[in-house]
Amino acid sequence: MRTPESHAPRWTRRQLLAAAAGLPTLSLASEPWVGLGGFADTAPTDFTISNATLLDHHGRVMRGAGVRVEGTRIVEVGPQVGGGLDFGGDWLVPGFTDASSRLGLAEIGAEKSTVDQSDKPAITPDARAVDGYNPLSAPIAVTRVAGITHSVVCPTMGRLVPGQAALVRTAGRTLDEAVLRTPIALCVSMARPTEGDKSPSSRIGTSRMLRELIDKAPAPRALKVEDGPRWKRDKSPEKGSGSKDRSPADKVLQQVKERSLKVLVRAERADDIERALAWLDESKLDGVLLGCAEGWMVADLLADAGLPVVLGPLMVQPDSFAHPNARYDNAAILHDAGVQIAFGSRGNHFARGLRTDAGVLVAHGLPWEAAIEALAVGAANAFGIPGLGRMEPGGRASFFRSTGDPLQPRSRVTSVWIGGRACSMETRQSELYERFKTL
Amino acid sequence: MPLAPCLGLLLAAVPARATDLAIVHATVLPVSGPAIEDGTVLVTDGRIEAVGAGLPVPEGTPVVVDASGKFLTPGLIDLHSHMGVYSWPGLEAHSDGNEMIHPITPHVRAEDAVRVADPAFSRARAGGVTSVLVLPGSGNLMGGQAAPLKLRPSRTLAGMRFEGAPRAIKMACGENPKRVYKADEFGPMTRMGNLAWMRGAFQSALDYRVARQQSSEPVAEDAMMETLLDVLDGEIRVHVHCYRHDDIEGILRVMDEFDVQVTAFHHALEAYKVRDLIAAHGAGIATWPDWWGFKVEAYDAIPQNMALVKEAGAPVALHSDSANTVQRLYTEAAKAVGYGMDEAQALESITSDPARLLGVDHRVGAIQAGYDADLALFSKHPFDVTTLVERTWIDGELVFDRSSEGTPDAHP
Repeated sequence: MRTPESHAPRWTRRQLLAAAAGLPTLSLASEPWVGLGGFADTAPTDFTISNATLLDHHGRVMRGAGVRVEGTRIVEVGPQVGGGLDFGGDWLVPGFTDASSRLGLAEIGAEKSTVDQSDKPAITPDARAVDGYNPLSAPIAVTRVAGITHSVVCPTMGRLVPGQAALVRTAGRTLDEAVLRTPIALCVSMARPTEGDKSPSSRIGTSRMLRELIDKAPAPRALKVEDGPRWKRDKSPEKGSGSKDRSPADKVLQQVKERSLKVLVRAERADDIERALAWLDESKLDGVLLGCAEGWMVADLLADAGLPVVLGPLMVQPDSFAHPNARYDNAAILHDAGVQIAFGSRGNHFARGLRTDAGVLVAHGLPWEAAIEALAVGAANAFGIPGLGRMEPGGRASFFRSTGDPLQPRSRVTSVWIGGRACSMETRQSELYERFKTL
Repeated sequence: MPLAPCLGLLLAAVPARATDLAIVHATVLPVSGPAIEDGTVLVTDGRIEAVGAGLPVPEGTPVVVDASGKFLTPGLIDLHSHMGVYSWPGLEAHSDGNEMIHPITPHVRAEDAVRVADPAFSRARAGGVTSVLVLPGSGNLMGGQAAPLKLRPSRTLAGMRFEGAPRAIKMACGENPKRVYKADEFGPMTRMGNLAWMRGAFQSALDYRVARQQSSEPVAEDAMMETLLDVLDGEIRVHVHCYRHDDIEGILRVMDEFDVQVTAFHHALEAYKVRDLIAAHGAGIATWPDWWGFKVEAYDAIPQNMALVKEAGAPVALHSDSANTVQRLYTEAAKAVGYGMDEAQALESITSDPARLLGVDHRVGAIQAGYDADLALFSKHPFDVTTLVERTWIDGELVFDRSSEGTPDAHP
């Protein structure tokens, strides 16, 4: 069998010296924390990649091209870029963003002592996924080496209002290094959320409680910046607009009502989707839909609403009454109808399958380019993150090297960069492989 | 009717009489040999009559399928399925896979619970799957007898049986059985209890046999004991749900004590750590390419597991354990290739290796003369993620045709 291509991490000077002397590298360092969290570089550097099969975020392929990076950003893209790291025709692919996951919130799914996915009550707008996020959790590295450079981490969606999602890098030793933005959205489940204390007992209860939640939340305040791109509007409102006495939950709900914080609404069955759209509309909220296994049945409504949809790529099974009409060409139909799509694994240990899961949908009619676009910039577009996933000057320098088409399972990801920093390809799994490849 | 020029070596005698079905101009991946370009497969009476490059099609053959540009593989085989015993739609009322009244229930049979109308069967056919082993769940140490099925569209269970396939039993160890009975008076609640219970069950069966043979008082026939005796006599193939490497070693310890052959360790995510022991015992594994981390005994999984175990000489079946994944066994196998497995071996993991572990490798899992005509026709190479199964045949009967059906949905 082949051995996985090894990636040579960029070591610190001290580590290099130690390695040259044949000494253990990490234990000798006086700063043993250096190198933890998956960044091989301690800081972004300027570098160039050339002679790549360059894939951009629209799914366009350019052979013999390269990128030039300064710091955390791409400054030049195209066939004129030469020198630096010669890819020898390997693919250079924009980093993929998992638009909804539980990454970093549980080490081992079935072991409660390792699970930090949500708080107990059914409605916790002030609960933050980032407060359960462990940037050194093993599944993060496993996900990173599959080409997923960023992830929208959501608290468990089984609850009515599980709390706030965060956008994270899939590398970083500290929360500060890993978390790109929090909150990125308030998560809401428009279905039969039966988990959590005081949860509704039926869809009737779900809708009643969600309407009540918004009605009782404080009224929107006047914002400093009302126009312009989303990321500018995300600035805090004027001081002195009466937020001092508000509870943390009310403050979040107020942001939601002000449309300065998006609502990520999970809905699967066609009628749930319709109800979610109506609730967002009557509450005047800025929404992103999640799931939409039966979205194809109401593709016209979704297109008219103009809201992005985060699809679970393989939520295509008519395996329950929660989505009895799920089908493989859901993504293709939504895309054809003009709905903006992104892909979310909704997983943790299984998040690495996202790129090949999206590939399966190409077999069922989704254009290959649309699948790439959804993986690269679907989440950035849905949540309004400038530069994320964009293979163009000004884009964040997050990308990966692949031996072939990144949607193909036979292609191997051999290097990853996030925010201009080379990443380690070591994982708990690669360490186990090294330990047991010979007995 | 296209008459292919008779070029090259004829791999089998070409019948003079008409065949029932001819598939021509396919890239045939027979598994039992190298790929055949411009391949012809002739089918008569549900069996493969001949396979070879450019074989002439006998006149009068009623169905000739032009498979130019397409790939033909043996029907795929899933060694670990719960279709039917956990039927779609997922409901409490459809939970029929775990008879968790006692940790030892070898006498119950999966086929008694299979919901023949499970819509998942038609989706599996649309994924080129022709045979499955439907197993009871892993709540019990001995969960019951498995049902080898051919996925023929059928109103009856009898119509789905894989006639001639050896009997099989599902056993389990590790976290699941010890969790289920933890609160009960007799457990098991630890791995110690798991194996003690297993030893106890086998010993009881041996004692029962002695009692039946020697006791002056009549001893009533007991279905549980009779099943265990059949296991001890090697008449039932043993499939053990087992993740951790020391659990695998422990099961081998118990089985060696009672001289029982294990056919396959299922899930077997740490098999790579004891692959030599598995190969020496003559067992195989059935596993996923990259599932991991959902519980402690799945935390040490590595995606090279399949390749390493195969390299050690044990058969490796890629199983689904999922009515979802079963629809894309070929894409799962392609993942194994991405993780370093040889392509031919990856194809074996969804055809000939599960056939061998099912005990039917003389009939299915390869395209060769005399074998059952279980076939899957792919639009592209099966390891291309954008491929689709266009047609599936079982015993020469067309059981799925994408051009007329599309992907099956859940409607009756």
